[in-house]
Amino acid sequence: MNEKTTLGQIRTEDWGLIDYRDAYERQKKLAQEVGRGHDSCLVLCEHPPVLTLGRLASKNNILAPGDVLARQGMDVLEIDRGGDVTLHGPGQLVAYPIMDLKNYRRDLKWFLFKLEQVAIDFLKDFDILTCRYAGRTGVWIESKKIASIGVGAKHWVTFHGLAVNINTDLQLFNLIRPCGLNVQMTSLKELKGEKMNMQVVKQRCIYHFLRHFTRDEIRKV
Amino acid sequence: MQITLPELGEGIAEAAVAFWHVGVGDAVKKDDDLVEFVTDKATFTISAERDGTIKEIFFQVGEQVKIGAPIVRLDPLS
Repeated sequence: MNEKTTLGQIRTEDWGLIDYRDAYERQKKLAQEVGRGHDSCLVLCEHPPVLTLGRLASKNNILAPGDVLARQGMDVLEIDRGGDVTLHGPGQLVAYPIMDLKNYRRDLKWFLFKLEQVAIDFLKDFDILTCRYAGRTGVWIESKKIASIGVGAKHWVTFHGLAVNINTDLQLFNLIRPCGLNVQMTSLKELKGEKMNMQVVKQRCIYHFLRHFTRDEIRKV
Repeated sequence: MQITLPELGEGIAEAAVAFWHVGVGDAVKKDDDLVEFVTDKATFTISAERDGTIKEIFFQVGEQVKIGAPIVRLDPLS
């Protein structure tokens, strides 16, 4: 599935369920295009189960032995984003904003803050009140984490992004120490007590993302 | 010419070297990736501003670098 819509200066694309490596290659290609002046793009997708390690991540934060991971067909990939180890899997909404921050604000901290706010705002649409903690980037409900963030930037064009647990199988997180922290993960499904409609969630995510990253909104900052 | 660590955002005073794409003696072309820095949950890649040869690297992976500090010396092709 590849839906394209245009609103303002940011396109959105839905890549559906896509292998992590394929999505990474497509992100890189998109980032090059955005760097050459194409519109910024928000990509939404889900991945089959995979573990990824950010730069400077500790492999000790993968708790499951290699043979257990191999039996589950779980790949472990070292990638060029910030943050430690994380898990992606079906039911987790992954948002990759491919943005040229030269057109917005050359500020990585601001960008991370904005991504957190997008997740906080769209989760609020489902009556889930979340928060952020200084020094622990991500989105939290008290001591449980629902969204993880890790981005990369080259020539101020961003890639990687935000992963929010919607219907994610939370058992999978037992394989790792998420983000290198002794933290329990949660999901929108767990909090609401029912499986969520991913298409509806994606629409709310797009709405708040565009709201936060339109030029008018940026000028208010 | 020395390449320095640029401003990465308000309140960011330093960043850690995360990955070197090049080593001393390597020939690079304009826009080739040189080094990645990491700050909080973001990486930032520094690229070559012109063709040349890497003459000196001032920091190793894991070291913290202050914004504005020289990170690499590149001998430009004349």
